[in-house]
Amino acid sequence: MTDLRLVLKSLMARSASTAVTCLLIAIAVALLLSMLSLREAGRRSFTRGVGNAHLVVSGDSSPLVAVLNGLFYANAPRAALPESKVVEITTSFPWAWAIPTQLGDSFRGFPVIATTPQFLEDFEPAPGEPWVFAEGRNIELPFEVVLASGVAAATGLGIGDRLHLTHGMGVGGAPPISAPSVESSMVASVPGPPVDESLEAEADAHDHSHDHAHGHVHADDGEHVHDEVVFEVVGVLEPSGTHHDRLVVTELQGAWFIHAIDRREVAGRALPVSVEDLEAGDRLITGILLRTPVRAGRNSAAVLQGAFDRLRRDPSITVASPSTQVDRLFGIVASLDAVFIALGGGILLSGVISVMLVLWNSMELRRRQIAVLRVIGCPQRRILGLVLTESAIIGLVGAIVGGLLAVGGASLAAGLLAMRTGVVIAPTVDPQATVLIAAGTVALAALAGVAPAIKAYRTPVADNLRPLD
Amino acid sequence: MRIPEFSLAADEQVLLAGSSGCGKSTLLLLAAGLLDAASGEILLSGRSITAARGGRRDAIRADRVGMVFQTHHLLPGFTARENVSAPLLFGGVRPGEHAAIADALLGRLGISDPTTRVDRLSVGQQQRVAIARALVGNPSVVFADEPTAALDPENAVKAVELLKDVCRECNAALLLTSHDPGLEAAFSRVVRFTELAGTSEVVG
Repeated sequence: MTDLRLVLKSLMARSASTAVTCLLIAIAVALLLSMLSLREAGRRSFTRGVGNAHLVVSGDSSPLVAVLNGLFYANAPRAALPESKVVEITTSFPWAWAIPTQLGDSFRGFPVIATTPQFLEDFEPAPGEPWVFAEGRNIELPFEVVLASGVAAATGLGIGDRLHLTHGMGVGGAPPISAPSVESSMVASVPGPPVDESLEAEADAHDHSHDHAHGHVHADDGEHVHDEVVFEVVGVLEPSGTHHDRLVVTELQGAWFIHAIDRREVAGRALPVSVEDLEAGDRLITGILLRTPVRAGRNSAAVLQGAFDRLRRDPSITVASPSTQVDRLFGIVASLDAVFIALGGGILLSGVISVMLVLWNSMELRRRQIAVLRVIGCPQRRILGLVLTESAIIGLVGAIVGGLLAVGGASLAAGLLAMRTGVVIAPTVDPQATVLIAAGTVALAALAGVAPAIKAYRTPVADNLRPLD
Repeated sequence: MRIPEFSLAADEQVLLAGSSGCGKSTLLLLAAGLLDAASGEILLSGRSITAARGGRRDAIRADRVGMVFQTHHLLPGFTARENVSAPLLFGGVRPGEHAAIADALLGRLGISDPTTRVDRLSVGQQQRVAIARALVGNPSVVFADEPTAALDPENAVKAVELLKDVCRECNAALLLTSHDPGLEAAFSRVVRFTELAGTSEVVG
């Protein structure tokens, strides 16, 4: 028999209340750790997801929105830029690369980025980690798509599969891109390969109505399926561990073509037949990803600042530094973080108070046991120590279980976040924070045992040895 | 109560007889140092338990006193071995030796499975565990407070004989209180609480 065994047996004798109290502490610790873990993981994910782009140019109203839309695919940008702007910007400065992008379409809720093959060659989804093809090849021709790993996994599509894109960013997506009116006398036909019947049927099943007048399948408010054109999967990417894994990458001219059909249909004009029919007014983009050259012995920050200042002079565009905007975003949500952490602390405190109440009440029920311990020679001080050890053990078990719950909970939350928002985070429980929180929990729990311990210390022995009725 | 003098010789076995509520239990609690005497002194093997305070008094009790109660007061949820080992924890015996000491004593008292939880034992077995717990620390005296009050006369005599035998084997004096006249024949020395009161007075 040891003191620890005495304490453990005593706790096990009241297994139900011990378990509930430990669980309360565990939930509080798990919440606190999960919040810290997700906060850090979110920060890392956003910072990492910027990739190797130094600047983002768009027609959005603010730099933050430009980054959220252009790099994190939060929504379709509200304004488009003409292709001439790409030419103007790319020729104005010796960029390492400049990649035009067009956002606004989706496939089964996954954002579609229409761009040039350079996107999969030069843009890195995470700094220093270029795209890797799991199978197939890069986009080369209009109406070809490459699926990022998350899309391929979720849809089960692979090389050679065919699909329709949806106008809009999926359920709750943004309205179509605004654009100047276009004029054309060309007649529309279907330039892409014929659609796979099963995919078409599936697309129909997800749609709310069929607008025969426009020849579109409407997917949601302001959204419709571009069922005039069939796209074919030519490549599938390896996971990058970023939100970019939810992308469907297609060739820019194909996207211009399907939007040209939309616009001309609305205007009652002849539809384009092929990409050769596209006019300047059809060639619209929603953003440009830019990277300044980085050379040894040259001040890259100064080069970037110079490029940034030059672009800012153009009032028709918004230019943003992704890393600066991510920092700004975290600055905005920092106070919210503090509120959540304070809430977690409050929950932990309430858990600790519950430890005190449970132990206090148990002292009332265990007066006879305490009296017996005194009879067999247990000093008062040791009674005090035994009760404090009990409360500390409850805190320790709660902290351990809470830590395990946090690991599981954070992974679950990360999965849900990735599924719903596309933000890929890799939550890890910081060992230092975990040790600090666990130590704090044990100390607080032990502190919660002080009042019950004093109560036990003062238990009158003689009064509690009377025969039971 | 006021008791000018009462002594119990080493190895002596005495029945303290008296009606319920007369003060027998209080006297035992005073002698075990669990109640404070207003005045006077109680010596246990030459050491004053009344003069000792706090931890020192607890140490004297752990070292020299064993107690048996009517309702046993065993630790619920603990095994027979753990109940018997508990006093050793406070008596300075190394934890590694606890189980062997407890098991040996329980074996002598007829408890074959020391790992059984005490709440699963019969009343008679529980009483044996309580006796073992009182004697495990090799006390110089065992105070038994109405240990047979809940037993029928036949089992009461058996329990007292067992207690007497074990105390004798362990060289511990025995002071047993009872209101049952049927037990008087089992003791060579019977002290009536009223006789103590004859040379003392009960106050308050």
